[in-house]
Amino acid sequence: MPGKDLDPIKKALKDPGSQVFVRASGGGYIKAISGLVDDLCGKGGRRGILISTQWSANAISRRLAITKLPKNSLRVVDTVSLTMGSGLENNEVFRFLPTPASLESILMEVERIIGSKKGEISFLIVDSLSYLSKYYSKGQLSEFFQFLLNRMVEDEMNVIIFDQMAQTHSPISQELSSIMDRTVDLEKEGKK
Amino acid sequence: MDELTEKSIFGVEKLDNLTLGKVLPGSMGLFYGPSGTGKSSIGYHFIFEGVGSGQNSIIITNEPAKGMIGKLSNFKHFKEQWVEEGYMSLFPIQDLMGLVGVRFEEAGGSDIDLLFRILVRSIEDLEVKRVVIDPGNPLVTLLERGNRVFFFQRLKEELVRRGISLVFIVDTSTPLDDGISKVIAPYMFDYVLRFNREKDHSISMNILTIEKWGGTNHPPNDYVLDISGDGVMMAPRIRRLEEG
Repeated sequence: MPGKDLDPIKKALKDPGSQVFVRASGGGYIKAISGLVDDLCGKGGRRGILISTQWSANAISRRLAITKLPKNSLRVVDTVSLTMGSGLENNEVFRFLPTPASLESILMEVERIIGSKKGEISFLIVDSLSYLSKYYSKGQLSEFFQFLLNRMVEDEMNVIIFDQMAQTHSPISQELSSIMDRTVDLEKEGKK
Repeated sequence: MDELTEKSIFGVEKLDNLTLGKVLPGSMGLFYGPSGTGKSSIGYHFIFEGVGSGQNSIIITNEPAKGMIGKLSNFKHFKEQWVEEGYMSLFPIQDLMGLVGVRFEEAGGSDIDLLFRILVRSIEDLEVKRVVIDPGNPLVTLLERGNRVFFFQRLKEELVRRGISLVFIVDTSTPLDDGISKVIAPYMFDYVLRFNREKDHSISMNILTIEKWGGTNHPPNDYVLDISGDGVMMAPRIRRLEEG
């Protein structure tokens, strides 16, 4: 992912507590997440949380090159690996939840991490809306994100929600796009 | 009644925030619901927070003290030295009945009156500021048998006089509506927390509902509880809205 394509996201994240909705697809999608994590944790020296609903711990470790990130810079709430039968235990990086994880258990896990790293967590990435949409209704997701976004604003944490683009945007995708500070369409940005 | 200026009441951050982090001295709370739903855990944290902030506290239970210490040791915030040094007392209800001099099964109305006086006297002697009765079921049974319908009103008066906060825990699978029991009902308490376990798809969750707080009905929001030895986490319940 050329770093330039991430510029609109990076720019939007400069304001404490700002929230960005990112639409991406295909190969650019994972590159965008890995580029963003590398930028925030590596270059930016920030600490944050990634909620992963579609990539297993091993896949995330490889794709995000987690071992190369500064220690304790990223905590991952993984709702995938347990379902795949991986015998994994919570560790410094990963917290494992069963799938479909209740939305409340995700909220509690985020809260637990924030509480254990008082004042250190400055961003949250959700990967991805499209996967959560497979398990939960629009109403549930709307309420979940309302709590999550409000909670992050309380502590001025940045939130980045990724959505894999489809032909048409789902109602929840449209809703989040309208309530978050900025929507970045990486495909359009790439064509500019 | 002056408001207690404690910041942490239950030691559960979200619950303390929701309840504005304060209770009234002399307040009486009711926790009810089926077993394994978090009533005792929050009750114990209420005690831990009290002892931690310098308030002598007591748990009246139906378990022997040794068994209770073993149970409490599963909680990160519990310190056995509190019991050893007398800041936290564990009173098996059988021991209280022993002081009354009658077996629980045989206790009648006048025995309950004596039990009440022993209870109040014990609380006074130990200079206790927080009390948890868990489970309260044996006491409810006793009061019903002895037809002591004003027990809690009398207890409330004693608590207010001494500035003591009490949590009464009842294990039940059925809601305690007014009239279910003549000796115990939500209106007698300053705050009421209902605990339940619900299944949503394949996910089983402990749900906490604040039914009443500070004399008014609380907005009917549910919260999901996650209980571990490290503490109690809470999150707002995501309502299963019908899609329109």
